[in-house]
Amino acid sequence: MIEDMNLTRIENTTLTRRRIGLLALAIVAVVALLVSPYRDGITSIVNVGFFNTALVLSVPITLAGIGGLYSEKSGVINIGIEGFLIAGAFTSVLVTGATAGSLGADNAVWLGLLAAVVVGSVGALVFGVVCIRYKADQVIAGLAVWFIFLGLAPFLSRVYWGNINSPTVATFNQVAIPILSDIPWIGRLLFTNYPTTYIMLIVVPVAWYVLKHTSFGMWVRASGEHPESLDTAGINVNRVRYVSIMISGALSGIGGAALTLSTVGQFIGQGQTIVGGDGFIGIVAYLMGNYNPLGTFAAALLFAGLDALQLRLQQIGLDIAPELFGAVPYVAVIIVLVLFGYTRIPANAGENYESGDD
Amino acid sequence: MSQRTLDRRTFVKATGAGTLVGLAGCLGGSNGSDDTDSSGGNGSDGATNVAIVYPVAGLGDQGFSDNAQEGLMQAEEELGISHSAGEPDSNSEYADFHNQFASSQDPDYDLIIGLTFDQVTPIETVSADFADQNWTLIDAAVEGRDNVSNISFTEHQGSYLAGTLAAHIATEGFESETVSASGEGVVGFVGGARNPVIERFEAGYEAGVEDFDESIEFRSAYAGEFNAPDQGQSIAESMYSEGADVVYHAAGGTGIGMFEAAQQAGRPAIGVDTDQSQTASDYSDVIVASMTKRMDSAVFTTIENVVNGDYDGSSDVQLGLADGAHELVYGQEIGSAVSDSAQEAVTTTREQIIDGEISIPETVDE
Repeated sequence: MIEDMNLTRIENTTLTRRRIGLLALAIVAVVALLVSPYRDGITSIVNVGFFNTALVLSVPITLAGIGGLYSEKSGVINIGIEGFLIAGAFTSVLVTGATAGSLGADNAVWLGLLAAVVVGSVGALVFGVVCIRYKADQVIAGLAVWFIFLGLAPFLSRVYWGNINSPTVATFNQVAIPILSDIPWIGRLLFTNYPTTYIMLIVVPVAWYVLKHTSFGMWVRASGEHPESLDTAGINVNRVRYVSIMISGALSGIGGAALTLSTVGQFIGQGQTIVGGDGFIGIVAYLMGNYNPLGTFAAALLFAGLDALQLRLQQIGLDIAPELFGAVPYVAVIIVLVLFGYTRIPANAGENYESGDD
Repeated sequence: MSQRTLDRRTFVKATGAGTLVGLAGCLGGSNGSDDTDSSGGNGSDGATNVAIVYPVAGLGDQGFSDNAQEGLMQAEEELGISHSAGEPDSNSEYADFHNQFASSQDPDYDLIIGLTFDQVTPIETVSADFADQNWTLIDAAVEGRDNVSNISFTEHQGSYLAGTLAAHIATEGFESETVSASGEGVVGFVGGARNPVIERFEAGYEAGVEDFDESIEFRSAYAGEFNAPDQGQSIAESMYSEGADVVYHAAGGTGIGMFEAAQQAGRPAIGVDTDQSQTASDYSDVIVASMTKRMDSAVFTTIENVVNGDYDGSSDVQLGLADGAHELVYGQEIGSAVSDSAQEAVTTTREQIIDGEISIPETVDE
């Protein structure tokens, strides 16, 4: 017992030392940039517009990440969120495009968003049935989800539009919230934005509150940590898991719709589609955020911020390969998982649960 | 430990199986389009068969590829050819498509058209194995083959004109019903992937701006892809928010994002490849002009040469302003608001370029 405690203490000291080391490195990097000849350029590009771009880019990552977090907290690892993002992106464009004529653009985009949520939830339900009822390996089923939508969405867009890329459809407009949008800086950043960004800004604290402070949140956590106790308390474990999986599908659906309806309203089917790995970055984000919705949002904002920074650094002549920036989230998560190891995966994630009742 | 090994093995298996499913999907998709595309002309015996391999950014970009397809359609209508198309999903598939078309016996293709810089290596490789097969590569060049003719463009010349116009907007300002620029003295450029062709756009555009007024601030950024409108939008957004009066793109589908940003900023933008105020008509309210690059006539002409028996596999043609391959066309909706002095400057500059009085760099100096 005493040995155990010593071990923990040693581990903690090493961890602290490593954290201090990383912090020092980060400070050195920032200072180096600030004394470099690029200083004026850099201070000029980090402005409201920069944070706004980062915020908008973080929407699909955050929503997919929080969805994946709920699913995994409940015990079902959902690496298929990338697939659900694709489904959401495709569906939103399809439905918006098909209904814009009869409903008008303003209603059609909302219907497109709703359709993306429905398709995401239903797809997630099917994934849940495969994983829970038919006890499929969750990682493999999740990969299958990705591959299915990666193939299906471009295929359907070829069938429907005759092209792997859709035409452009109606999109959301940025909405300024009265009064609040007049606040300098914050008003432009937080209160003059796309509806999908507002949805994310609401989802983040709500998801955090629900997970930490409601009985449903407790069920979700218990279902992933110790399903037996939840079962003993008379709660249906698998029902909690189904609901959590559907939350992940629904949130990914919104995320996918944000990628299309809050940009140019086009579904791109080529390569990795318009989603291009945001779902995987979402997984990285919740791992780095240690399954905390607020941490997930912070990590997503960091990755999106790096992306926004990369696009701006080029403009001041500091040309770093975009591919290098693209690798940052994955490198970061490896560093966090290996060097710090504070991320704790739910004890029963990936395990099927069978109640003794039936 | 054994548990872990097993997991990894199943994981690899699943990935493999998934990849196969994915590949099967690709093949299915492209075969489908082949069928529909070629069915049109199969009825007429002895018709010329042409295959085209689109770039990854592909059809639906409301510019480059769509324009090339128009040339193909024109050839179908006027020359009665039949055609097939390959739409690869990734750069690694180019060689497969070229190989597939080159080895096809039914139909035996008289010409395979490749587009863009990305297809240089695939065509170089495949054309060595099929000496009897004729290729035309448009928008890039394969050296030292007598069965691959090349057609390229002088994008730097056309883009110089776009630069001239942009410089006028950045100094005089611009007013129309839908957009306004106050003449902040800042212009922007959005590139797709960085390659020599796109750099010609940037270099010519930058030279056009700087030759007019060196004090104009020039901003440029590349999205890294031709099919990332979201990236194009965030680049252009940052440029407009930092005072850019006008932004020009050479980014295929990525450029649609630039137009979206222009609409939100209420500033003008310059399109590329086709008259985008028509081809991307959702954005005609911000497109002040477009620098056209006549892919359609390049495709049509090379097919016409094959039909007439004039195909020359060692030819290396560069189309420029003088050939009408590039032109700065003013937007349908707001182009008329371009000042007379700017229009005159563009016209005279065009003549000077054709007469060889202006030397324009083809590469961006770092």
